[in-house]
Amino acid sequence: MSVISRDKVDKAVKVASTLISRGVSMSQIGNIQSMLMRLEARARMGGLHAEREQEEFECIMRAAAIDDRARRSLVEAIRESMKEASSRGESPTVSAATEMVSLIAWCYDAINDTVIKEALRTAGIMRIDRRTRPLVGRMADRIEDLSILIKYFMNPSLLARESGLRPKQGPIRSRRW
Amino acid sequence: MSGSIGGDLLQAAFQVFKSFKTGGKKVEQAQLANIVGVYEQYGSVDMVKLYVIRQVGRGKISREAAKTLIEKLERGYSDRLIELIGLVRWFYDAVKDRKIDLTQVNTYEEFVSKFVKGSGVP
Repeated sequence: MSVISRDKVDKAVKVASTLISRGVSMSQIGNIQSMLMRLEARARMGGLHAEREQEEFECIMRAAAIDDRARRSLVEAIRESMKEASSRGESPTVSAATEMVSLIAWCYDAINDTVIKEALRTAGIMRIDRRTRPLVGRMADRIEDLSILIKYFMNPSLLARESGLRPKQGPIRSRRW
Repeated sequence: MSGSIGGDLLQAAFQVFKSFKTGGKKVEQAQLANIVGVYEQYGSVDMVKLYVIRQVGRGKISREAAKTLIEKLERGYSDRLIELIGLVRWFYDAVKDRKIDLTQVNTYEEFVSKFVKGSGVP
């Protein structure tokens, strides 16, 4: 059993919220995840040196077509996770990278599909388009760790209010008076 | 099991069961096994909370059910998660072949009473 610490979950929530606010889609995360899984499979079969494994990991992360700030945040979290795995003597360390990306993907779903969508719904916004996308980013930026995520899950209208929305009235700035 | 199962845990399990059965979307029993699976795989109640929230977005667990379970976990039942979910599964098993209207049933005792009186005939 690989025990996942609270710190790691908090870090994953923070990275996921950065990815959402920087407009990274779930399918882009899925692409990174599948490339890392292929690398892990090769490393597990014993075909890669640790150095080569690291090089290929860097290559995958550089090649990912995502915003730079999102990339930095993602790479930092994954590197930290790989470093911890390495200090525990786990091999291949890239398995810690796939685990971290999976955790981030869970957080992404929880933030985007559950919490933000419901917060928008409480404000009467039923779909995300060019006009409402900045709101999603603003909401995501507020979610910095698991306890905040849970707080907003329990009370989605609070997230809507704190992001400048009023119940059933849509964005305050663009409302027609 | 880590300790005796008292009335509090039974009440908590009943409330979770009721929310799972009567929320906006009835939660399939398989979700309970998944919750236990996540806990056993990651050894973390935080992962269970995250999983449950994610499942709401995927339409597998109703919002009410997730809220009730997370509330219980936040209010001191996190170290008895396996027992709590185990009891919820027992409630699921108990009503498997019966139709019991849970809307007016608020406590574990009321549930047992309704069950024994046979108001929930198969």
